[in-house]
Amino acid sequence: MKLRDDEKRMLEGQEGPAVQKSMEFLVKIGDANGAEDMVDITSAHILSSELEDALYNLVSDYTQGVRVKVLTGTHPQPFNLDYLEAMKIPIAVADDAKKFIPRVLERHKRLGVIPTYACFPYFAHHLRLGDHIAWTETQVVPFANAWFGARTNLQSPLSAIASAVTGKTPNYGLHLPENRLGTGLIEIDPALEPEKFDYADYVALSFWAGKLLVDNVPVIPVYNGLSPKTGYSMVKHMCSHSTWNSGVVMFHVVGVTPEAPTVEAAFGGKRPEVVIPFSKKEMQNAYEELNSASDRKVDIVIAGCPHCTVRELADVAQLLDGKKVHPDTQLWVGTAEATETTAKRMGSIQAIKDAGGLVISGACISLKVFSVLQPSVVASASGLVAVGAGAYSGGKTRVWFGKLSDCINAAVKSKWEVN
Amino acid sequence: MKVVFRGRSVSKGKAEGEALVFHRPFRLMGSVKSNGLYYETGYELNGKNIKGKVIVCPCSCGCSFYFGFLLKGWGAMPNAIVAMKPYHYAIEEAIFSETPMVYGFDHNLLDIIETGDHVVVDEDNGTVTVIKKSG
Repeated sequence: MKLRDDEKRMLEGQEGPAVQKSMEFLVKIGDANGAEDMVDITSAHILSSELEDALYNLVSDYTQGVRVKVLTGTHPQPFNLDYLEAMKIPIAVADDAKKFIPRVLERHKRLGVIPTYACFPYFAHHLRLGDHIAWTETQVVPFANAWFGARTNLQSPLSAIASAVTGKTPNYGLHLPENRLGTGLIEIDPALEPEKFDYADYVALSFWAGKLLVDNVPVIPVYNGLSPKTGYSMVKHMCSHSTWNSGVVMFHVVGVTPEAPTVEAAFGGKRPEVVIPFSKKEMQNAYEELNSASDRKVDIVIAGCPHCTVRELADVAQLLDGKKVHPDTQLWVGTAEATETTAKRMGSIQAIKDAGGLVISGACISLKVFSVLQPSVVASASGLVAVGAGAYSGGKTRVWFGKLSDCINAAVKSKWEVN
Repeated sequence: MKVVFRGRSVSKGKAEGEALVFHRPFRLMGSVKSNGLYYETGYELNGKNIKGKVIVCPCSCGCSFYFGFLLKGWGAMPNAIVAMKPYHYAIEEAIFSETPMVYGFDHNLLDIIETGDHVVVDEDNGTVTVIKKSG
């Protein structure tokens, strides 16, 4: 790789051992991927999951005595310490969380990051079309690419930290415009009335596309026929499972993604190699595949994977209006602390709590929890819950996947039924 | 029968073992448990152990959460990875878990390597050597 003078200085150790180690790692990644040089980044997104000594020490080598060089936000904490008991987290896991999480938060303060603790952290960022950024994790990386047109690969947590403390990332993959073009076209049947899509319909659509395009690596779907008014809450739901399940790190929603004003622009003027129709039959098949449960009794209903937006919190509150969560079922609503503060002003948080739901902010309420609790049946409109719960729980957890209104209904009746 | 293929090395190192061939993207985080068992509902390799194997796959998918590093610590990582195409974090996982990985070939090795074949992954020379179990 060709390095500039400031990058060479970092590599030689002139900014200390942590920056040196970080730059060494970034150079290795660049070499392994055939990158020609580094780019300056404007933003980073890092994890908060170093819940054991080995991981904490690994990250220490990259962070000791330094502060981040760019605006850096943080992914959700593994648990919200205030809700360990309410979520019935086993004592040994809870004790570990109480011991390790404060240590990670303390390090974040020293590093000078913005403690967003969110998988919908955009309120703290100013991402622009063409910005080079260095983000980690499946929920946020495709969103940054597809909604903002900022450019990031799916970095590992370690390289995201290395990028944050150096302000650099290797210039390969999605940093190069030619690698951001679509690899498959999904034609959405107007008869489905996409302008009326529920969150779950967006999940079903993107799940189906990822599944059929999985051999077209890199998998970059182009969705044609969605409403140009498709909002960020909807695009967020297209991200949650796509990377984890099908390796989708970038996609285009024609008329919404800044790089895709038209289908032609999304493919850079080339013809799509694969065209996938999406009509009633495909929608039904996607719903069937995303559902893995048969027992109608529901243990936990999950809203907020990825973290609920203000609009979704208002939706949940409205769906619960005049109702109570059934004593045999728990309703978990996950969001960012900053979003919770805003939704409090709207009355949504109190309404959810009054109905018996748990509003758990700043933490993950999904996959990690499945591996710890292994609940039998959960219900959710989240794609990541639908595709991931089985794997994370070692095959123990089954999922009812459906519209948010059906999920809230399941929380109230303790039973899955589709209206 | 012994065949040698040339690809792109991620780092330096050499390892070998019995091939476990995936015909869909391979995922570490979430699907692999601390004992090396692989879970993916409805997939034929559901319940197989990846520990000590050479994973041969079209590419990877999923996310990281330092998972390669953790699996290495638990002794549950595969010995090496052979991928047809690269995937973002997977190369980084290979680097920081010190797992040899070679990717990008002229041939589709998924048509050539079968589960049970012996595979040698040599990053120093950028080669993958396949010794067929059927001789």
